[in-house]
Amino acid sequence: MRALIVDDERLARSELRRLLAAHPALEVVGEAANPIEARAAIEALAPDLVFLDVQMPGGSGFDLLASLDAAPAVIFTTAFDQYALRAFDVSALDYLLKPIEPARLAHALRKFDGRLQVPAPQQVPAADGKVFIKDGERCWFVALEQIMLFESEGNYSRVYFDANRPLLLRSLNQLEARLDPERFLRVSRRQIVNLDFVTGIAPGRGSGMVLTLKGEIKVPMSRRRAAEFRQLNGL
Amino acid sequence: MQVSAKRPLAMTLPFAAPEPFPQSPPIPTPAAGTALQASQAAAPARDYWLCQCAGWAILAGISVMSSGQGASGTMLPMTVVKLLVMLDGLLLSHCWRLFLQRRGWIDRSDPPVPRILLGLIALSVVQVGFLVGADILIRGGAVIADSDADAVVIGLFVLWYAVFLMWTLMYAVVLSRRRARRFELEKLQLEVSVKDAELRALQAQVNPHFFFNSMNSIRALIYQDPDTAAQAVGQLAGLMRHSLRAGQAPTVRLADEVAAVNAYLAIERHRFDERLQAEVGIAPGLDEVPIPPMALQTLVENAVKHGVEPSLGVCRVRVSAVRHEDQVLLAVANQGRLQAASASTRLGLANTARRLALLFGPGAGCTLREEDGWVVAQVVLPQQTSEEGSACAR
Repeated sequence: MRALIVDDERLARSELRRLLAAHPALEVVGEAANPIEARAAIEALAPDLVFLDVQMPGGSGFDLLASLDAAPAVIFTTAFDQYALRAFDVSALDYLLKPIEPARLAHALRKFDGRLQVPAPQQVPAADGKVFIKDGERCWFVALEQIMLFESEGNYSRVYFDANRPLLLRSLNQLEARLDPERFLRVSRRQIVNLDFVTGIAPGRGSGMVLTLKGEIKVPMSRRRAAEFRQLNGL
Repeated sequence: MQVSAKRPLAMTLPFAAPEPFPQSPPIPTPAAGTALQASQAAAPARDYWLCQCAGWAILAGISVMSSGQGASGTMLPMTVVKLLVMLDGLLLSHCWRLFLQRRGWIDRSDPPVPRILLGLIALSVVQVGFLVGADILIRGGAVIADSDADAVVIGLFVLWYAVFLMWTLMYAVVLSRRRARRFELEKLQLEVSVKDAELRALQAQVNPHFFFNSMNSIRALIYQDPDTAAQAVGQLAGLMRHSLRAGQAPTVRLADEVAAVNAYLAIERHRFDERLQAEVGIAPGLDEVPIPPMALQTLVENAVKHGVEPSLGVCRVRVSAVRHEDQVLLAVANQGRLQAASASTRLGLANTARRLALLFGPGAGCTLREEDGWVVAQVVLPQQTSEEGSACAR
């Protein structure tokens, strides 16, 4: 298991390294002192796990995550920002309070290890991806397959999942390039739909179609896209 | 796929005001309070006499004008009688006020109305008696000589009863409004003192972010450099001791505060390495200068929080204390930019300035400005002559 340590304080990094030495299964592959270095390191090293400080010069750990296309597995380390962490809907994330208790660290690593062992229910690797969304003060760590719909709002996309509708700083084109085409369908210039959530298809205006998603959300499908869709599915 | 623009960094905090000084010494309310009470007592007394004179003068005016139709020969004595009666009314109402005050009948929420109404009867009887007496002396008893004397006297009695009743009502209204205002003021003062206590309790705490990060650094140092770790523990202990002591004294020696600042900076240097470059320059002869506890330390903490922490590279922090004429200037500067001050920042600064002014007089203050790439927080402490100084310390 390969880990990256992100903390702006040299002593904090070396202290965490020292604590991690007790876990030989985990290899520290790099360190970063700010979000810029961290971003580069995550892209270059593709670590399995990132120990991430919340407060850093040049941006918070949340900003770093929100800037990544695919959020890595993260354990936050913080001296006193656990309240900030608790306020977020980040149940998928763990956090450790500095100075870190070795027992707490072992527990967090066991939890993480368990998560790794669980076989992914879907065989499509991209489906395992998670995205970290930060909209204003709120954050979500959401699996792509939980997302029902992306709707274009200029440079942003509104993300529909559960009852949440946060804005993600990605254009629909950027998202389309990255999302699994088996699951996510660009139904119009303005929308990408998760096909798993489609409960009904009805003819729409002209030769278009209207998709009904869970929660009675109606999404019109453009004529061109509908034609492509029909062709694709032999309709 | 790449990010086209960066979202604003929600976690980086704008420059906040130096948090109001921890354990700022008790505000010298007793002295201020007496001055306030004295001026408050003077104002109502003046208002009372103004209202009295104006009210009776108006009544006299109306009374004299109403009898303008009579023959000129009888006019003068009649006017004299009326004026005397008004003067007597003024005198009686003042006595009535003293009586009410002494009995405590009026300045309370449940005045004994029947007794007051009885008192008003006595007052009216005396007043009508005076009127009749004056009439006899000056006009030869024109009133009692009237064919309908009984009716006239009863009419006068009713009229004066109404006048004194009105007077008492107006007086009661003014008093109750004043009481309401005083109550409001007391409530406000209580709120302020509660807030003050809360603030001091809050500020007596060591900044937890700093504390836990320091603990983490020290634990790392224990393995890397035990001697430095031991030194850091001593520094942290010294800083904690200073901050605890600060909760108990209105002022501390500048030298003690500077020692705490140095301990703090030494610990932060372990955390930030070369990113924190601090210089402390205290002019000679200022060791004994009294300053509000944690005044300098809070400014330094803010400089580190808003200057060093968000900075990717080196950030210099300069701490200085100099005497300038009859003032001592404390300044903490850090490289960086002053962010647009939020409402809470401005409030914090204003509060700090007010506290300083209460402690050190109107010349004291606190400012925050940006110049040539430095953010400078400055505290001005006027140094008075020894007796004024002791008055302040009290």
